[in-house]
Amino acid sequence: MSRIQLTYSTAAVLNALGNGPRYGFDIINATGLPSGTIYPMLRRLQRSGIVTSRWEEAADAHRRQRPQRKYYTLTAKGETALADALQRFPALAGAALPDGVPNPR
Amino acid sequence: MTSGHRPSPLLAACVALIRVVGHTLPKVERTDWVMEWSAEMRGEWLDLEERGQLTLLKRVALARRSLGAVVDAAHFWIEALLMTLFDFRTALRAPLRDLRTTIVVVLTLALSIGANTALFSVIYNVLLRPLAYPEANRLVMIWDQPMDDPEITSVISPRNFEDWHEQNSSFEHLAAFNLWAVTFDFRGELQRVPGIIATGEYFQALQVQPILGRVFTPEDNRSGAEAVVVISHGLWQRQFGGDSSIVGRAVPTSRSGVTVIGVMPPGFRDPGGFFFATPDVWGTFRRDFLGENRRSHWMRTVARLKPEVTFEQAQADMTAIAARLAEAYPESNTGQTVKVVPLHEQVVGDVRLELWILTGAVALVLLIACANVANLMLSRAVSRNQEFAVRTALGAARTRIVGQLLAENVVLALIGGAGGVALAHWGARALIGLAPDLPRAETVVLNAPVLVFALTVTIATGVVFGLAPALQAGGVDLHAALKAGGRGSEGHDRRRLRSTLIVSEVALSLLLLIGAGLLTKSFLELRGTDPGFDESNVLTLRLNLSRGESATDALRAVVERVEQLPDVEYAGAVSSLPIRGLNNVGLGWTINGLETPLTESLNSFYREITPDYFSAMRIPTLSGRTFSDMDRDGAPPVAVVNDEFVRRYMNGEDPIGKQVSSSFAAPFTAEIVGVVRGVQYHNLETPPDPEVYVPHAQLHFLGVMFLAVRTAGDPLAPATAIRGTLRELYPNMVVDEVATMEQLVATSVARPRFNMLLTGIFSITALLLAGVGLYAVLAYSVTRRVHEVGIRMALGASGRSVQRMIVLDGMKLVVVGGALGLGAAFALTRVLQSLLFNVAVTDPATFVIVPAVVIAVAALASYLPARRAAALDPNTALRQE
Repeated sequence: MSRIQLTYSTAAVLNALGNGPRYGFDIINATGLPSGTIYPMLRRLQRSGIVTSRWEEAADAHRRQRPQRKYYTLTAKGETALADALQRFPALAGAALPDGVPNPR
Repeated sequence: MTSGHRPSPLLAACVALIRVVGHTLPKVERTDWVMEWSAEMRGEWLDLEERGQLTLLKRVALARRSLGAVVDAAHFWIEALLMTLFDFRTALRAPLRDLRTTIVVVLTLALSIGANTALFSVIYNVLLRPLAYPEANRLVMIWDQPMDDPEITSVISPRNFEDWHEQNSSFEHLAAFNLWAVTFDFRGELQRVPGIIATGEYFQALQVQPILGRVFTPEDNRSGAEAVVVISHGLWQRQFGGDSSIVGRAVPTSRSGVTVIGVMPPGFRDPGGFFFATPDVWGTFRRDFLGENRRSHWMRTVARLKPEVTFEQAQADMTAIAARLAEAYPESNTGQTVKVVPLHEQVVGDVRLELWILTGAVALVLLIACANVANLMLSRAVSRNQEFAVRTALGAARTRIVGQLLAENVVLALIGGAGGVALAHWGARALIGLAPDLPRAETVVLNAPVLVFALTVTIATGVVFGLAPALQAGGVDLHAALKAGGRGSEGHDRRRLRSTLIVSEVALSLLLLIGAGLLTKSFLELRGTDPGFDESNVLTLRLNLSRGESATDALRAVVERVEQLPDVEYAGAVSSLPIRGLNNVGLGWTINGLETPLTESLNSFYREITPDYFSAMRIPTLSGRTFSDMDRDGAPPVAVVNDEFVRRYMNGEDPIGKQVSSSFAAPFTAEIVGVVRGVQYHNLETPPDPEVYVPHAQLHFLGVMFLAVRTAGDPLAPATAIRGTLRELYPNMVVDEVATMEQLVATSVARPRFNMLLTGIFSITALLLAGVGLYAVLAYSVTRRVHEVGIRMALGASGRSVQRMIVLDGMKLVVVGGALGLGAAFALTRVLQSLLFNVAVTDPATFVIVPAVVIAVAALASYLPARRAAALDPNTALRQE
């Protein structure tokens, strides 16, 4: 649909998702951006079709004894956007992503 | 989910915050959003706890992170705000797309809101706003009242006033006053300045302070005190250039002179509004002027209640005093009681009913306008069905579409309302112009309460006419609307709504028309009454004579000279002019040689005239003779009575040759030499009262006389010549109030004319609106039914039968509405009872003619679209899909 505005923050979020699905606070931890920025951005990215989200299975959450989390994943369009972002902000490519969690699936 | 762990109060608080904020979000987003945020908070907490990293620092950081939820929610709020702004932008743009409908809607609303606002400005300023005196709710007027007729209140006698003043325990201040005038000598030019003469406490009772100098004190009432006056702000500015050294200055008058002691603030008014809105001079009675006669009644009374005394207590107090006086002075006070009237009631009581009736009428016009506009908006909504369906399909909430339509309507109403306020500005002025005798008319302005009213009415109107179409649009059947394409579709509900609107419009306009019809007929009856004189071609002037012997000679000279002028047929003078009604002196009479009980005094009006008065007014002589120049001072005293006097008091005996006696400034007796026809003195509604005429040459107690001049042609033509003659004869005589008799009669019926004109305008507007509404609905249904009509015609229906079908559709609605309107009229026209003269509230002619007019208009409104349907070519019609 529409091209998103590619700011550094957006690029950082895309980069964080480049390693696989993450939940909201995980992205916050990975990028260091404030929660009040991340969530509206995620919604905007979803509306633009760059990111999709899904709730983890209730059984998985139960097994880990914590509430169900919502995971965000890059779409195909998102992968293209990430490539653009890395071209624009090359520094991101080498950036370490702290506290990354393993892919739940 | 977190069972087994001790719940942390901090975490609970964070989750609670998220829940609370969640409630501000759109419903569709809410559950998901709250779930995600609280899951993240709990999950992170648990993770950190598990890893043993839940330090105080981390806890604080996590709590801070939960505040991000508020920032996140704010994004939704901003989005919602932008959406609303967008709706308003659409609301502003939508009316431009269908400019014709918009113009009709805005004009209809502007006219009806304007009419309502104009009338409310009158209602508010005349009826609702307190009078312009401090604590005006404590002011009352006190009147004499005959015990057997609580409808009548009459002026009081000075001696009774003195007793009231001494004996009452209810009033802080009690003052009597009457019409008065001073003939000032302004730098050699005599000018008669109207004013009020009052007893000493007049200004204290009204609690109004002068802006300069002082008002009267009881000392000024003393016999032999210096003649002092208080003047109005207007007179001070006009004649004395606002010079503040005016206080204490002696100003020459036609007699000797008066000393100005004070200047009143601008806008200070006569409390009863009886004489004129703004008097220019106030004088005070001298004690010796009040006289001893309890039977001469001519004063008005204004009083201020003591703070602790209620109105009812004051009435009881005064009733008791009246009873004591009736016992003490049976020959003058028997059968008399006292009536206390709140001043506000006194001022506006007469017009209250009329104004509320007019308000009802104009509100009905607004309702009809709303119904019409609602109909137009319904049609427009139908053609926009697809737009709404598409938007609903794309996920727009119904409430949002309803909201958008309401916003559109409120925008339209606001434009209409703005136009309405502009129209009301002129309308209020026009209303006042039409009703010259409306009390407090000079205070009518579009002030803040009126504008608040206009705004309220406007928004309410927008919601009322917008609600039905908006709710209907909210309930659009998606599937049907999308399938119907641009054609739109009209459901059964919507057709019924339209029919209901038309039925109510017809009913309301019929009701209004019947009201207007009754008032019109009443007005025509009033104008058709014979007042007992011929008002055409009569010019009248007021002459201010000095009292005394020379008055007769002066008046005789004036009449003689005026009668010699070209175009003048007769000239006669009279002390009180019919319809004009000043100097109307009522006296008690006895007829010598006729047995009458003492208590029943023969009340009759007293008039001084010159011989040609009856000829000038064309008042017919019924028997005997009228006066001639031979009936002068020294000749046997004579009198002429009217037929009402004979009917009421003569017990069938011939009045000619009988002696009548009375006492005014002095007792007198005269022989009745003739009977003339009675004339209506007060207005065209009140039948003639008994009257006794005496020749001015024999009796003259009154200083003001009116000259009535019958002319051959236009009564105003000789006016200049007459004034010139008078100035030549008596340069010092003040001549004013020049008016034709026809003008005086027209002024006396100004109020009924006002009621008739206004209800007439309102009801014709209502009828036109209803007609246009009916036309629009039928024309619209013809457009919608082109296809159906095509099929009917293809199957052999003639143009004529199609035409009949459409007209019948319209007439069905009209018959139902008409029946409802007639029913309402039968029930409601009784409120007009007191405004009708010689017309029954269920006047058969009105109840037949008005429905006939409504049906004729409706038939025309139905015929036009029907003709269009009949003229359709079936082939084209069928193809038009």
